Amino acid sequence: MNQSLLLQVNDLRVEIGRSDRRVRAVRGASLMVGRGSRLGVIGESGSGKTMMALATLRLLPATGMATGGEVLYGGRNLLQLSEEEMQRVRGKEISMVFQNAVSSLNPLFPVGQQIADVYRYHEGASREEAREKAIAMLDAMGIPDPARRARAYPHQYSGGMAQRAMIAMALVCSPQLLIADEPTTGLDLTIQAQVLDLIKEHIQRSEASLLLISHDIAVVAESCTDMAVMYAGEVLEAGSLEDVLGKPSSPYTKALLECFGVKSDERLSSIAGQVPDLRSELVGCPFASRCEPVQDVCRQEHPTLREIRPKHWVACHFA
Amino acid sequence: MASWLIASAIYIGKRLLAILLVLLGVATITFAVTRLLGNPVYLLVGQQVDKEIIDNMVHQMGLDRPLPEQYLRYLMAVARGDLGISRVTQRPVLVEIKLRLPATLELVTAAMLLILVGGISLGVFSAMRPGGAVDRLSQFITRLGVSIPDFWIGLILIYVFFFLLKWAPVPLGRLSPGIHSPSQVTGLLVVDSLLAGNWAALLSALGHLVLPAITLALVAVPSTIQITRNTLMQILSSDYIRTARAYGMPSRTIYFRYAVRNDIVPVVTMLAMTFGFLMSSTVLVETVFAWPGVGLYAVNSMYQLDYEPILGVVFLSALFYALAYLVADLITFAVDPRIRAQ
Amino acid sequence: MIDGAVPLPVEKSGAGRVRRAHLRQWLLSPPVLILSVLVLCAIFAPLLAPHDPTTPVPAEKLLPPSREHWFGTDPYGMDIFSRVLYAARIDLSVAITSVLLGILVGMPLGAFSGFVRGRFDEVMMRITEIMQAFPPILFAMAVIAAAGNNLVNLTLILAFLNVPVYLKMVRSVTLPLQESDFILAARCGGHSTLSLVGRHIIPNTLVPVFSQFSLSCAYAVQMVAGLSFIGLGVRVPQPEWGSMISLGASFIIFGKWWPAVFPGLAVFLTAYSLNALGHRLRRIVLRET
Repeated sequence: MNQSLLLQVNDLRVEIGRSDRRVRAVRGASLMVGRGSRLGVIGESGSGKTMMALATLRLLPATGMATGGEVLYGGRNLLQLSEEEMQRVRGKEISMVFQNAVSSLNPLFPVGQQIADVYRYHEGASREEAREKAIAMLDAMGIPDPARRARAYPHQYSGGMAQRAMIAMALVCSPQLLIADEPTTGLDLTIQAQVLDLIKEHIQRSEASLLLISHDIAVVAESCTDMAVMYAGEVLEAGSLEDVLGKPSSPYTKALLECFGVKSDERLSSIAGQVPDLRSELVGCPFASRCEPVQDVCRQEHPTLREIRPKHWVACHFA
Repeated sequence: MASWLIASAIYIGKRLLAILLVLLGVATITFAVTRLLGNPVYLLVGQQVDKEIIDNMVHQMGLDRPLPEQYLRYLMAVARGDLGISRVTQRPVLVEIKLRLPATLELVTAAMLLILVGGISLGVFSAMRPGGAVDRLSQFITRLGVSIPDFWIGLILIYVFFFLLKWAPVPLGRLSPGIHSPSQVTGLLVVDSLLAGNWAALLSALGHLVLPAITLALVAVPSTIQITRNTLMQILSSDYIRTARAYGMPSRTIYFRYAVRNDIVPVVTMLAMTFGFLMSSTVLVETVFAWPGVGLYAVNSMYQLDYEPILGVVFLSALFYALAYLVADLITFAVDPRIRAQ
Repeated sequence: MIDGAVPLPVEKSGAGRVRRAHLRQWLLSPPVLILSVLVLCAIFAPLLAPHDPTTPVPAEKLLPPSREHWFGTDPYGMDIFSRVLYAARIDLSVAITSVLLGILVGMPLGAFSGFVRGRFDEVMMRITEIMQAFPPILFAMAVIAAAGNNLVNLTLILAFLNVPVYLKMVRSVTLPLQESDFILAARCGGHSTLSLVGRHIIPNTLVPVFSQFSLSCAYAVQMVAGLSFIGLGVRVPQPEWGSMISLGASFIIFGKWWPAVFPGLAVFLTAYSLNALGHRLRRIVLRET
């Protein structure tokens, strides 16, 4: 594996749901996170981006499982590690922050203690050391009066502050990769900007990498160096931020950008049609039903990701 | 620190008030039922008695006073602990109940132990591996348990373990005839015989306790398994447990440090309520096993047309229920910081 | 059907066939079958019973099960099988009637309470709290001792115990409905509270109530048996499962198991199938909502 690559996802497939209602949430997604880079994964809800992230850390819910592909990190396929080995990866090598921070923290334990627990487990620190480290992290995240805050409970935190605490927990063991799944959704706009800046600053400072998942292009454009576009469980386009935003080659990406008004001469539009039914096997391109310049071959043959220019991949027959 | 104490005091105060209101309601309904549904005197002396005697009794019992006055007197009496006089023994109902309460307490406590060990562990293991063998066993037990009448299963247990297998002692009361009961300290035979070193009595008491306790436990085991399983499953699939997993916390930490603490409130609440509930549900089991507790006392009083004791036991049961609620609330208050914040 | 998507195979005639198959499967399920048998036994007891259920035959006391007496005979010599059949009438009718009465009272009160809210609702909630603090069996004992020992009183008591259950259930269904748009629209149209509750709220509560009905009946049957076990509600020669068990209880220790076991088995089967049915209905309700 390329040494400048930190994480490589190849053709990942994830299924979820009970036996009679099985959904193929991720159907052959591939992406790469380079060392020191920040990859934003953009997609509508149901595009499989969260499932892909959860699958990476083997955190799928009980009804889900990865049914194909590989996730390469540090020369190993994470999908094949034992549970004990994964426990050493989670929180230490790869950390994840979730969308709703207040409910993601245990309501019966003080926030500082939860951060300290992570530090103690992975670094073998003493109770005192861990406690001080937790306070230091809260301070580094810009939380005022960190010592008192460490003793407080999650319900006493505001949404933005709780997210900072989560990020503190994520970064306490200095992981190589931070996965952030919709970290700013539900927060006020000003708080959103602060949280994104915080993440960016700390990632850059520790020379770690970021995998940011969002449905909001503005968020990704603001904080990332690379971008991947997901639709119906697949990655349809990926590359550097300039390439994907400046020279979008997948019809879906183009349509998406129009919706966000990135092409400044267009008024806000929406993409007609619906996301395909993820319970069934898909033939052809997943976007075929909503693609304007669609051709017959799109409905019959599945397009694979190919590199149309250096470091810019697109899955389309006509890119 | 002081504000914490004041907050607790206010909370406890509020809960106590709520309980008092419930008890008031129970007393009121009990009063209404007895005074309005029938003339209690007839129940006491039957209908074939001279009018003069009836009138005398009515006057004596204060039944000729206006209703509101009767109500107030009744409330004041109950508040004093005066639950009336037993027509049959002419002793205060409270005394009679106190005599029989330890037997019921011992039975319920034994059943609670079984529920704790059997019900909760089944619920926990079912939650840890949903759909697994233990889970399916739990579902089966639950489905059966809610449909089996407790008095019937008690009789079947007697048939199997006493008649067929000859393992259980004669299902009559708490001790076999010929065993000297230990001197009364708590009224709980197991405890008293331990304290007195009376091994014969201890064995006999335990032997007699087994079948009734199992029968009574069956009443509550299905719901215990269900609630334990469901609450634990909810917790294990919660966002915060997902976070703990996401940070590599090993299973033992997740289960024994986090999930357990999160589950304490619902489980302990459930146990407290079960205790309160069982204290009022011993009638049928005590009847089947001739267990001399308050339930059997109520039944016998009913046969003897001794009315006050039945009301006394009803009130006592409501009291236990209310106390159980209070204990459950206090535990929630102590463990969950979100409740304390209010 | 969306272009490009090939759905998994489904029957040609689609929804209708699937629903009919479900219904057939449902009707033939064990709980429904058992219940139907029990109800038929109750209704046709006089035709099905081989012996007279209320005439004592001292010569045939306590005979074990045989070809002549399928369930054996009780201490009075009466055929237990016949008595079990006849007893079904009493147990089932008392249980069902009491639950229906409970629904009749609890449902409107609950709908009103959830709809009107405010003081009325608060009072209703306190009252249900108190009602549910009463231990059912002891309460029944107290009331029967005061009001007289007969089946009517027994039914009324059980109905009383069911009221808070349905009151709370209907109220909890009503609460979210009360704030819904169509109620707002109807109110703007000038409908009175009564007609709103009756016309719009109640129909929406019927389905969950129906699924709870079966479960309540299961509990009621056990309560009837339990109360008559200690002598409430039934006179001795009248066949009733609980009192039959009581009669047979004293003979268990002598190894004569059949007078107590068979009636209890009837209670168990009834309760079990009612519970199973109720759970199936509840699952269907949950799936639809």
